[in-house]
Amino acid sequence: MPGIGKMKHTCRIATQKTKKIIPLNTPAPLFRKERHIIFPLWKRGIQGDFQVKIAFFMVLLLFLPVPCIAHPSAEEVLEKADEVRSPQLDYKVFVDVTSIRPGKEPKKAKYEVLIKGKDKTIIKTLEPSMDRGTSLLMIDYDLWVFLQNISKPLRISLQQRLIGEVANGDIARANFSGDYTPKILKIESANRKEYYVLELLAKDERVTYHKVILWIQKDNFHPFRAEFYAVSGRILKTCLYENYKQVLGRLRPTRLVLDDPLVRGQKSILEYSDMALTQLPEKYFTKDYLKKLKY
Amino acid sequence: MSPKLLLRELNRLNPPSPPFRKGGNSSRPPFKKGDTGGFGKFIYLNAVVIATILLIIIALPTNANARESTGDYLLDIHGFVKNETAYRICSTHEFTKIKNILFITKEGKFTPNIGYKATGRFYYDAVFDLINNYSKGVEKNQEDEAELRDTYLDFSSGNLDLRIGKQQIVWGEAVGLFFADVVNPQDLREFILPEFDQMRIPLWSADLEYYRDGNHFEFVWIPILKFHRLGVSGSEFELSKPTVPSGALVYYENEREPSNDLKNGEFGIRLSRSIKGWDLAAFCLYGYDYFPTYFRTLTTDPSTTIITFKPRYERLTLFGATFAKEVEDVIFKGEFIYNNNKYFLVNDLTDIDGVVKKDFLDYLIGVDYTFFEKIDFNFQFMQRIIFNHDVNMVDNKMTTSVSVWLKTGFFDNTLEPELFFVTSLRKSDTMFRPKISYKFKGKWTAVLGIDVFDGRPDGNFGQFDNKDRAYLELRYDF
Repeated sequence: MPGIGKMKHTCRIATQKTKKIIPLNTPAPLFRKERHIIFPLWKRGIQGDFQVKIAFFMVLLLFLPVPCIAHPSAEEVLEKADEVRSPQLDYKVFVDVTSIRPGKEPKKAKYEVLIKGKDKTIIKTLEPSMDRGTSLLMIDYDLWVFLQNISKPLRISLQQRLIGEVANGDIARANFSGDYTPKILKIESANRKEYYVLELLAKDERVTYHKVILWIQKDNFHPFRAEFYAVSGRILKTCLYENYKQVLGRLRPTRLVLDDPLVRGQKSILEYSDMALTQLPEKYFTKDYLKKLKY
Repeated sequence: MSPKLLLRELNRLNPPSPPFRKGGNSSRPPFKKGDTGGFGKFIYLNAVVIATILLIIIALPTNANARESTGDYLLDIHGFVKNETAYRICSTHEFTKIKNILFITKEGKFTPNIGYKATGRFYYDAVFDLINNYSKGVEKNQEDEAELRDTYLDFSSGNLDLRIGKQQIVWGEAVGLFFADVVNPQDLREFILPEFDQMRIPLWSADLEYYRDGNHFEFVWIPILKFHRLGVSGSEFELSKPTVPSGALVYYENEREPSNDLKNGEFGIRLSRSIKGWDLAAFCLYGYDYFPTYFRTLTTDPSTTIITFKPRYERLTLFGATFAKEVEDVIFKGEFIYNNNKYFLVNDLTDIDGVVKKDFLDYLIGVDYTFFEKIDFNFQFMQRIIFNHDVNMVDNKMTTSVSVWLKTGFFDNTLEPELFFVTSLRKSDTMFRPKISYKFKGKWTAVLGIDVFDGRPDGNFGQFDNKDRAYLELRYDF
């Protein structure tokens, strides 16, 4: 639990930021309404000690209750959204990827993903049959692949596409907060819901996307939509977080729809299933263990 | 694609000795329509392969159901069926391979700490029944085979893992090369052209591994010895043997292998670690030279010189180190292997046994890069340096070669052109391997390619200058 001093500090920053960046047409945050209530009281011109006491009390009010209803910081919003996407513990999940191209038969692939913490991931390719046995290990931004026809782990760069049209990072990373520095751009309303609009800038050049704009539902921190950008500023793809289901004790998105805005009708659908908490020993996440993964 | 193999050993094997080249000298009558013997066998074996495949396909749903009921501990059978057809496109134009392969594997866990894998490979090469190209000896050696491949048990206890059984133990960082990949011998009957996991000969061995704080320690014990399988005399990719003076009578004794005694076993240790993005490893293998050493004896009488070669497998101790590191999307890789006390051939006829012991260093430096996020590229520089070199040695003091590999993809990577090129920098000696793969329906892969060799007859690749081939492969994964 943060102390009062820390809470006060958080509130002040949030207020300043909000004053600067919230557009006029966005709904007013709660703490502005409170100040509006206080202001007429001050204007009534109450005299004497009572006035001083009231003033003192009001000053206290400014500092004490406000943090309880203030916006969380951008980092907190992002971390809460990450908690919605994935449990922040060791777990495994199956991911079915359907790649849809206009006029072509959809391509399907299936992966088993093992995740330890925010920066260790193993992707096991289960389907299609021709790629079965291909394993990918990602630690921080380092990547290794194990191919059955070579039978040894090879160091590769993040640029190499190994799991079809979906970027390695789309499957390997379920947490934004480790890879990106967030900033709240604005609060937006749509369909009678309010969303934090976060701008995420990559902490490292090797991250899959240079910039992400992320919409997070304000009341429950559910990720709603994301736009992914290249260094040049070109939009690469958009993502919708859909089909929220009760998984491991809370509602989580079980379908991600990645759309290519440059090619109409071209998209990839990632469907998550059988998410389960499990003990994943540290040795699994070493390149020398890749040959021992069972398929 | 292993210049290393060639640099390591083939350099010392000089141009083919005519008495041992028998390509096309088959004593078998050519296949004719109505020759029900060969054709009948062909039909029979193909029927067996197809029936086996059907049985497996039928069995698959049953296994899938079994998995549902038993959790992760019973998994499906997987594998592939493949046809490889090759056609020689220089000198005598003819089919050199019509190989049908069935590869099946099953893996899973008996308990959370005990896993298993069982793999079998069966093949039948119809070229020996359909076309009269090769001698009986080659046919016997290469026509068909049923082999137990990687089959082992995995035991796990905390940070300790033990794998016991027939297995491939693969070290090294290089792509498409056998530089530090020194533990398993290889099947070289088709030179270095097949897939590497199919070329390696699995060894009955124990592999003990320990993981701690980012360190990986490995101890390998190989009690049952195996050596490279070389193409027999007259086969398409028979490696050249030592040269002899003209007019001399030459005899080759049978290869003599060490017995499988405990004292003859092979041992290896390897320590690896990743430090700040650097993959580092060091290893030592007390093993064997998997190529035979041709000890020579010379007998002269007034009219004839008789040379007898006695091939034996000799001990070899290797010390190696490897690294890999990514810098700005470029992967740098290196492998260094110091070989202690290897026998090399000498040209000096006065030498008592025709061989001399030397130490040598093989090393490779490579870079991987992906251009335009589309074209995968690899360049490797390789060198062998023989220390304390003797002028009478068949091998040069220094051998240098480079390789380039390129691959890209079109139409969602369903169509993938690929090129591998390796050449010596000191003499004309080149291998050029372009191919194009087409993947369809998630289970099928078709590959069309050519393998072109060029160079002097004493070169690693030049010895196969008249063996250029075009090939077509069709593979179904299940």
